[in-house]
Amino acid sequence: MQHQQIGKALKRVEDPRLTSGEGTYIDDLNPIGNIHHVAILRSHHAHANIKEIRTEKAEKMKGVKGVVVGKDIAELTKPFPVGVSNPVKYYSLAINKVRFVGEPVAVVVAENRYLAEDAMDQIEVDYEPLPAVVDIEEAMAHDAPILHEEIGTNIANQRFFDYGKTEEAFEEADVVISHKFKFPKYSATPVETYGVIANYQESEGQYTVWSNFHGPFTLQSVMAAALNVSSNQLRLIVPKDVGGSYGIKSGVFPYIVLMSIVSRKIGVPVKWIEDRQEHLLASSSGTDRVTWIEAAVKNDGTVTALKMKMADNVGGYIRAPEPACLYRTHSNSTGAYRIPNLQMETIAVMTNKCPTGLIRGYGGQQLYFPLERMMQMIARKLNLDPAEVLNKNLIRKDEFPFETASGGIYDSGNYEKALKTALETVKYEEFKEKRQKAREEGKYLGIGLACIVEPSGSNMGYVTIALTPEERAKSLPKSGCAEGATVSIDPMGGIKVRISTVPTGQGHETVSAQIVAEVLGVKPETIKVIAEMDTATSPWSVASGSYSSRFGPIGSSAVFQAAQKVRTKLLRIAEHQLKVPIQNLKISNGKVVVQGHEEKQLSLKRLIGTAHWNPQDLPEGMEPGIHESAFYTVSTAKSPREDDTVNGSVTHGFVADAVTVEVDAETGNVKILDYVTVHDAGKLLNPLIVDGQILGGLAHGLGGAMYEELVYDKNGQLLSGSFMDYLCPTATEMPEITIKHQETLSPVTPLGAKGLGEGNTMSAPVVIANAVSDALQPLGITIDDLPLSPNKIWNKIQESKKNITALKEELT
Amino acid sequence: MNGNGKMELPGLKEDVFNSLLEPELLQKCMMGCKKLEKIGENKYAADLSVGIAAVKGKYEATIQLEDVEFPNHYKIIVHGEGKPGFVNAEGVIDLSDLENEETLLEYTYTAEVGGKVASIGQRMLGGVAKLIISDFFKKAKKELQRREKTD
Amino acid sequence: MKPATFDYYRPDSVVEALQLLEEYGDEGKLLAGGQSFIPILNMRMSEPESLIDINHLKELDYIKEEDGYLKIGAVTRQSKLEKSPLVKKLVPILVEATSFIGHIQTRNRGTVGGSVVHADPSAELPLTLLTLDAKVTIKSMDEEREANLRDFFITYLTTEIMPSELLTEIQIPLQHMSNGYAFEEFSRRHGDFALVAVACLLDVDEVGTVTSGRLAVGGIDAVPVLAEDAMDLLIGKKLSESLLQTVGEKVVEDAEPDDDLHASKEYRLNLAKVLIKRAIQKAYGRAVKRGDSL
Repeated sequence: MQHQQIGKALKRVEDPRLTSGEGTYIDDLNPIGNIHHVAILRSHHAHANIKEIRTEKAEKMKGVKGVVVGKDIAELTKPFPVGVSNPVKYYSLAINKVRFVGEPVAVVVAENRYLAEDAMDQIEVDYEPLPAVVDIEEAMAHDAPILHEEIGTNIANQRFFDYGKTEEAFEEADVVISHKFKFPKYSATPVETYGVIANYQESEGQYTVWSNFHGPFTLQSVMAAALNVSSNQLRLIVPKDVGGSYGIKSGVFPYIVLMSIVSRKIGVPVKWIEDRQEHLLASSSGTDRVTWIEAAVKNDGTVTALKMKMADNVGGYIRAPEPACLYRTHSNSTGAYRIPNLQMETIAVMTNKCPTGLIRGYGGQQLYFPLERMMQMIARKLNLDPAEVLNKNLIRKDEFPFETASGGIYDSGNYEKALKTALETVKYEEFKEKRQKAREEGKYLGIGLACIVEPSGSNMGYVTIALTPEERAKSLPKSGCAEGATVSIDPMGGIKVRISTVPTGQGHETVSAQIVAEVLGVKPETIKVIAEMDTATSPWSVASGSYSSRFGPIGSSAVFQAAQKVRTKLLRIAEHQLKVPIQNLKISNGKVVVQGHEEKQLSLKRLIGTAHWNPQDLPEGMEPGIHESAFYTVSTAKSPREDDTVNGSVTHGFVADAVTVEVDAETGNVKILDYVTVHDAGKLLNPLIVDGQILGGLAHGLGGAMYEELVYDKNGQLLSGSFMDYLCPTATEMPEITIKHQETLSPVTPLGAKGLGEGNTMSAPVVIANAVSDALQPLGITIDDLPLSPNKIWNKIQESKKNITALKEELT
Repeated sequence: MNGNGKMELPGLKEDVFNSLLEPELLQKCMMGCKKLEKIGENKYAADLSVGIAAVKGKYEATIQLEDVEFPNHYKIIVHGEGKPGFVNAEGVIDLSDLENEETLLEYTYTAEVGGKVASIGQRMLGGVAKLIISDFFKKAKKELQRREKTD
Repeated sequence: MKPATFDYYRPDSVVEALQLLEEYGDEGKLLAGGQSFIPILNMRMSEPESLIDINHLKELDYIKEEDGYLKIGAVTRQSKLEKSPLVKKLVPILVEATSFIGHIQTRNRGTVGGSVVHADPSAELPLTLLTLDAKVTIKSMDEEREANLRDFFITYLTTEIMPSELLTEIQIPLQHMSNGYAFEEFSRRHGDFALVAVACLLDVDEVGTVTSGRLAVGGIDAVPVLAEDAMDLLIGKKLSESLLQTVGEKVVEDAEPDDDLHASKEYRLNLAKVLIKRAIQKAYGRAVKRGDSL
C-alpha cells in the first residue's frame, strides 16, 4: 500500500509548544484550589526498626497543616498486591521498619515546600539499626540478614524452566563454556521527576489524582486495592506533557497512594514534586543481576543449548510489576539464535536497596550482556571470527515466524541482512587490519558486535510465568495487550483522536495524526489528538500506557482500527447517498469519490454534516454522530501454556550493532570511534521520530555501558546520590553514530509496524563491552561487569600485566 | 572509612590519659561541641556542629568510652544523628611513654557515614573524616600544652 | 530541596559589602556565581543566616595589565577570562585551564574569585593560579592585605580568608612568564570535577634544555600540590621517558589520596603521573615552538 502520511518524516506537532514554554507538565497544573505542599521525611538507614516517631515539634511549625506517619497508612491502606505466591507487605510509607535508604517515613503538609522542609527537619525518629545486605549472592546465603521476617527469606520469587533436551545437548557438546556475569543497577533519570497532586473528597469517597504516571494500567488496580476502594473511586489524570520517563515513572504508583491518603488524613489537596535527590534515592530503577551462563557448543560454532541462572536484585520490597524484570525477555532468552534447548533458573532477591520497576530495555540489557559476551567468548575459544559465529547461529529469514524454545513467536525478520549491513557499514575487514597495525604499535583498538532481538508490545500474560502452572490455575488467566483509541468527528467536522497510550515524549500525537490522516484522506494538521489520560473518560484497559515500546505495534493499531471504523461509516453514508457500492468508493483529499467517475463525489464535510445535522438521512440502522472506539489486541498474546512456554511480546524487531573503540592503556579511558547500528522494526511510522528514539535509547545504553551506576556501600548507603556522581552521558559523550534501517514488515499488526526505542538500551552495554574486550585481547582481559569506568579498565590492565609478568617468571 | 595517626603530647602518660577522658577537654576538642553532659558511666551526650567551611551540620551525639585500661588504652565510640545524616565512628587510642615527660598517642579509627552526607559528599568524605579526627587530637595537644604552661 | 531561611543582602559597592561582612560575616556567606554554593544551599548542606550577594559589584569585574601584573577582579566571570584576548596573549595557560571548568553555561555565572575562595580540591583556577605564583588582595573594613596563594589554601573548601574578609583581586606576575605551558585534566565526562589536573609552565633554551619549570597537581590532596623539588630535577636536562617517570614519582611520593567512587588511590596516583608526563611534554613542545618563532 502506498502511504501518503504513514512513514513520512513529519515534524512533531508536540514540539512547538514544548519549545516555546507552552507545555503543560504536572508542575504547571493547578487543577484545584487550596493546594498544599508536602515534604517527605526519608530513612537514612538502609535497614532498621522504627522505635518511635515524634512529630509534635514539626506540627507546631509555621504554615504546617499536619504530619502523616506509618500508622495512618497502616490504618487506611492495604499492602500493594504483587504477582508472586509469597508476597511481602509493601506500603507507601514505612510502618515499623525501614528497608532501604530513602524509604518514606513521614509526610509533612504545609503551605509551601520550604516550610514543609523546615518542619520535616524537626521530626525525630528513633531507629534501631539492623545489619544491611546489598549484594545479591550475600542476600541469598543462609546467614543473610532477612528483610521480611514474615516470609523468612530474601528470595521473593524463584522458578526453574527446562525446554527441549538441554542435558543431552550438553553431554553431546564439543565444547562447554561457562562464565559468571554481573550487571549493575542503574536508572533512567528523566529531566522531569515524579509529580503527584492528590485530592480526597470525603463527600464522595473519591480520590482524584493528577500525576505523570504512564501505566501499565494494571497498576491502577494495584493502587485501588491498596486504597481499599473500587476502581471507579480512584480517578487518575495524566497531563499530555510528561518530561520523559523511559519506564521509570511507572514507579510513581506508591506515591500516588501515599499522597491520596495524606490528602484524606489532613483534609486538603496536596502536591508533591519530587526533587533530584529523592529521585535517585527512592523512585525506581532497573535491577542489578548476577548471571551464571553455560553454552553447549559444536566445534563449528553452533550453539546447541544454553543454561542460565539469573538472580535479580529487586530492592527492599518486591513490588508490581516485578518480578517481570526476570520474565519480560523470557520468550526471547535465546536472542537472535536458533538454540532449541534452554534451561533457566530465575531468582528475584530482595536487598536493602531502592525497589525496582520498569525501565527502558527492561530485562533486555541484563539478558544480552551475558548472552552476547558469551558469543564472543565462544568465538575466541574456537578461534573463529565473532561475525562468523553470530552468522552461524542467526535465525534465517525463511524460518519466520520462528518459535523459540521458551515459546516466543518472532513474527518476522531478516537478521543476516542486517548483520551484513552492519559489518559493511563499519568496514569490518578494514578495521581488523587497522587493529592489527595498532597492536604492533602498542595501541589498543577493538571492534565489538551484538545481534539482539528487540521485543515490543508486551503480552500481559507473561508476568504470570513467575507463578508455577499449578499456581496459575488458581486464578483468572492473563493474556493480551489490549489498547483502546477513539476517533470522533464533531458537528463542524473537527476530527479528534483520543488515545490511552500516555506518551512521555515519544510523539504519539504526531503519529496518531498521521495514521488517521492517512485513513481518512485528510491533512494531519487538521487532526487534534488528545493525549491526556483520564481513567474516568479515556478508552483504556489493563495494558494501556507507554512501556515495552507498544505504541508502534499496538497503540498505532488501535488508532488505525478506530479510524477504519470512522472511514467505513463515512463510506457507508456515501454509498447510501451516491447509490454506489462501497467497493467502488475511495477517500482522498477530503472527499469520497467514485472510482473511475471522479465527478461523482461528496465532500467529507457533507457526510459528517449528515451524521450530525441530518441523521434521518442516514442509512437504515446507522447511529447518528461519528464517534468510534476500537480496542485492539493481538491473537499471539496468549497466556502461558502448561509447559511454561509463552509468547511474551507480540512483535519482535532486530538490532545489529558494530562498535569500534580505542582504549588508552595508561588511563583506562575508552574512546568510542564509531557506533554503527542497524535496525529492523518493521514499518517505520515516522522516520524522524524513529531516529530520535534510537539516539535516545543509545545514549541510555551508553550510560549503562560506561557511566551510570547506583552505587551502594555495604551498609546500603547510596553513594551516587546526585548528578555529580551518578553520571548520565551528555551531548559531549555521544560518539559518531550511523543508523541504518531495514523494514521487514510484521505480519501481525495492520500497518506492519513493530516497536522500537529500547533496542540500543539493550545492545549498547554489551556491544561496547565486546569492543573493549576485543581491544584488550592481547592482554587476556575478560570483561564481565559494567560500567566500563577508566579505573576499572586500568585495574584489569594492571592485573593482567602482573599475571603476564608472573607467568614469564614461572617460565624462565 | 578508616585510618590512623599519631601525636606527641606533653605530659606523663598517666596525666595525659586522665586529661583525655575529662568531659571538659572532650567538649573543648570535639568539633563544634556546644554542649556535653554525662549520662552514664563513661557515657556522654553532646551537640556537635561538624563539617568543613560553610558545609556544616548539627548532630546529636552519644559518646561512649569502652575498654578503658588505665593508663594505656581505651576505645571511644561516637554515634551522631542529625539532619544531614548519621555518623558512627570508633577510635582506638594507645598511649606510650616518650622521653622528656612526653607521651606518644597512636590512634586508629573507623567511621561509617549515612544519609545525605554519604550520598552527596562521597568525593571528600574520606579526607574530611581524616581531618576532623586529626583536628580533635591537634586541639587536645593544644589544650594540654596550655595546661602545662599555666601549671 | 529548598534552602532553609536566610536574610538576603545585595550591596552595590565594595564598601557596603565590607560593612555587611563585618556585621554578618560570622554566620553569613558571600554569594558570587553560586555555581558551587547554590546546590549546597538548596540541599541544606549549609544553612547560613545570611547571604551577601556580591554579583552587583561591578567595580570588581575587570581584567587589566598593570605594573607588571595581570590583575583580575574577583567578580570577573570565568567566561570573560576564557574569551579575553589579553589573557590569551599574556597568560595563555589560564585560558586553557578555564575551558575545563564545568560547562559554558556555568562559566557564564561562575566567578574567578569565587572559585579561588571556594577552594575545591580539584578546581582548575586555584591550581593554575598557584602554578602562576599568583597573589590575592583581601579587604575587610579595617585593613587591606595581600596573600600569596602558596599559603592561602588550607584544606578542603578552606582558605585562610576570615569571615569578615572579601577577596577583591587576583594578581599574576608577568615578569619571567614562561614560554611553555600546558594544562591537562582527566575527568569522567566533559565538564565534570577533575579526577586529576595538572598545570605546567616550562622554559627551554636554544638547545632544548629545561631552564625553569613550575608544576602543580590538583586532585591528589586536600589542596593543590605545588611540585618544587620534583621540577628541580628537570633543570639543565632534556626530556626523556625515564626522567619524566622520575619526576612524576617524586611529585606524588608523599601524596595519600583517598579512594572514592571514581578513582582508587592507586589509580589516582597513576593518573597524576600520566598527566604530569603529558603536561610537561606539551609545555616543552610549546616552549620549543615559541622559542623557534621568537
